[in-house]
Amino acid sequence: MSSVFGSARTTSGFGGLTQTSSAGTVQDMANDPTLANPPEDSVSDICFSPQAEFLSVASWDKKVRIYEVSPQGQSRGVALYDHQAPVLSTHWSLDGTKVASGGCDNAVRVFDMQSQQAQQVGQHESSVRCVRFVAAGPSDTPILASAGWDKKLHYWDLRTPNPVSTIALPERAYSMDTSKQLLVVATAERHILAINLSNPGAVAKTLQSSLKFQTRVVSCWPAGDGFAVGSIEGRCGIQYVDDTQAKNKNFSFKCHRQTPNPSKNEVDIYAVNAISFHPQEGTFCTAGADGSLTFWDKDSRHRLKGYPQLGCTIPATAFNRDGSIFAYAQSYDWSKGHSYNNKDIPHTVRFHQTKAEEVKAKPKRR
Amino acid sequence: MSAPVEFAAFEHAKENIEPTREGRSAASLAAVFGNNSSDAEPERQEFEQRIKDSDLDDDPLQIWLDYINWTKDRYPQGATSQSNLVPLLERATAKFVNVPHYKNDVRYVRTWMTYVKYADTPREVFTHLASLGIGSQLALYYEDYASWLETNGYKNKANEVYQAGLDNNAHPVERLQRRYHQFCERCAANPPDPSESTSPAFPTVRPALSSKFGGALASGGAGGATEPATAAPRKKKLSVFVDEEIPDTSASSGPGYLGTNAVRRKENVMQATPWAGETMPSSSALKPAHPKLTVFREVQVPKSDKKNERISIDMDLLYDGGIEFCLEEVYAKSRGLYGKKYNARPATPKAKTTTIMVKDSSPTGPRPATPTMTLHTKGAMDDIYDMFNQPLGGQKHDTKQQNDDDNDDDDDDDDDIKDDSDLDNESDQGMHSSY
Repeated sequence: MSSVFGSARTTSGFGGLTQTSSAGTVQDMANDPTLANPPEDSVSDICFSPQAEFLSVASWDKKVRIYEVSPQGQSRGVALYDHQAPVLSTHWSLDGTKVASGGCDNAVRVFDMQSQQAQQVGQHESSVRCVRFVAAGPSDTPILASAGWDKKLHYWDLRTPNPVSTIALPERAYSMDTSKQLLVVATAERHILAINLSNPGAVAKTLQSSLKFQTRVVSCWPAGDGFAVGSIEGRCGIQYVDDTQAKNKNFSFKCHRQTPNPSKNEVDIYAVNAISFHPQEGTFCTAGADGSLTFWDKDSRHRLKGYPQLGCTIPATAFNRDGSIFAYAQSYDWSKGHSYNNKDIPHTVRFHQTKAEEVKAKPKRR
Repeated sequence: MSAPVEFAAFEHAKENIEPTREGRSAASLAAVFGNNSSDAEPERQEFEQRIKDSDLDDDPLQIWLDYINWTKDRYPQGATSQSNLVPLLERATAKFVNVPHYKNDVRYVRTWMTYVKYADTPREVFTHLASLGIGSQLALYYEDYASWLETNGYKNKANEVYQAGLDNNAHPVERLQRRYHQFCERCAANPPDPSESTSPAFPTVRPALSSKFGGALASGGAGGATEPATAAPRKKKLSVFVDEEIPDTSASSGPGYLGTNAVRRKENVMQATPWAGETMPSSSALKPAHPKLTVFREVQVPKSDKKNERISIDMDLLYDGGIEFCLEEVYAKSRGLYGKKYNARPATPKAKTTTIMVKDSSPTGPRPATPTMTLHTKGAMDDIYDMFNQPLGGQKHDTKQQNDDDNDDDDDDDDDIKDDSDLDNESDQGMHSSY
């Protein structure tokens, strides 16, 4: 495997910058604990609470599970609630008291950790792809944003059944993320909408993905002035919202490409399934359909650490609140259709204790 | 005797010297290619002047011959645009084409034979001469014609030409006979191709057309020549438009006129016009019949710069029917969940009225007192399907809501339409007030 990764190193990287000893091995990840009582079907999304050591796991088995995760990565199930159909997205409220989820039953649900009760708070006309709690408006009112395949972005006040505001999207929503005052929605046909949450009812900027292929994921970095976008064609783009910054700092790079047979001169390209930013350092990790993980530093344009293919596609990743634990889901992401799904593919989440070399931003090269 | 000519004087130009049967004078070559060669233009002017004055001469042909010979010597390269040899030959031959006493003058016929070498359609020139009777008494004509036919593979026709020459007692008969014997020997050694076309060497002209060709045939017939009446030049068969303002000179028109190379090719010469503002005519056949046809767009495959790159994703699933789908959509579709409607909206306060809403423009007169139960609206159908599609172990929340629905059954189905369609309260109100 290390030879495979060694060759992969030549095909992925920030524009040919020199690489330090950034190659990880399977052994490094072998001891990562797995989830206790994992879901019965593929994991679709995972999210850590910003206030406590809780992890919510959305799954295609129509359930959202909430686990308590110890600093060593040991997990214990604490709650579970149902949707009528597979769940596609989950997110914690900023105060850590609620978990939101949305799924193929077109419903947006919120689970209250206090009362241990789930409640439907919103309804779309098609599947709900993404949910995010945001602090909107001048008074930072906590509201829930949900985007779906009905080409709608709804804002929900949790007390009324009707959306407080709605934005029509150009296409079906594929991914959404928020940080500080920035809310970014990526849709089909490579559209990206940036919304300034001080005025949540309007689209601040309509962008196109800097990548040529279908958008798979967007993720905002902690500073909240831009986002990373991942495409199905093993490529990741760093895009700033501000025009002048975009002109100077935007870039994209190849990742999640494997050369199974170096002599054949062939490269297999995999989708970038997930991008997660470290909450403090601002470094990030990309996970792909090849089942590998790579840690990057966008500011120094440097690859910090790469891990080889772990034998299973990774559909979702998340850092915990202090960035000490990196969770990555392992289950089939449907990237090769029905026929490639089989019972041997696990449906689990593993917890990796992050090391400084993986997440610590390098001093900027002068 | 002058000093022998240095070969080096024209060594550098020897590839450009057209060989002739009789050879060339080294002195004249040295004069032409030498360093101190004089300008040809004054001499040419002198010849032109002599030709102008030659009408009163006893033998005007001789001046032309001198002119031709001078051109040949002065321009050893042969027929070039500078030498003007071909137009000169055309002028010389056309000049005396109707002069009877030159018809069998060996010098005049030799001029024709020189012209044949440069003509683009030699055979037409030969038949043209036959039609005019030029050279019909000279072995030179028959020998050259037969030789040209033989070289071009028409051995039967060459034989015919020799026979015609011998029948005419063309002078010198002995030489013609000798040539004919040599030709027969060559034919015996190398028999003619049986597939050679059988058209006669001197094509006959149908009498019905004789009036069209006028004098050429008339003179041919009156001359009583034993050779058959010959065809007029092929170009004459087509009525070629000639600009009227071109003055007809006596030598360059009429039945005996073969036409110069330039005249024969005039259809192929484009008139020089300024290019500015010109539009290229485009063929209408190239225009697509249905330009509004939707163009098939193939799924974009990344350009392979150096390595063979393969996307490890089933692109057929992602771009099913040309529409982009994400992996979750593909998965949802495979489980039959995509686009499925769920009627699990949290209970909203229902309208207090029990009226059904009918469009005001409805043509039915008085409405039925009881609402009809078979309203085939999409929302109603979805509701009915959803009742059957409820999972058995459905959530309490949903079954509760279902019970709610059942309990207030004084509402009819149309209430659920209100649920599905996003009618807000205001429009609801409007409907009722208008009722």
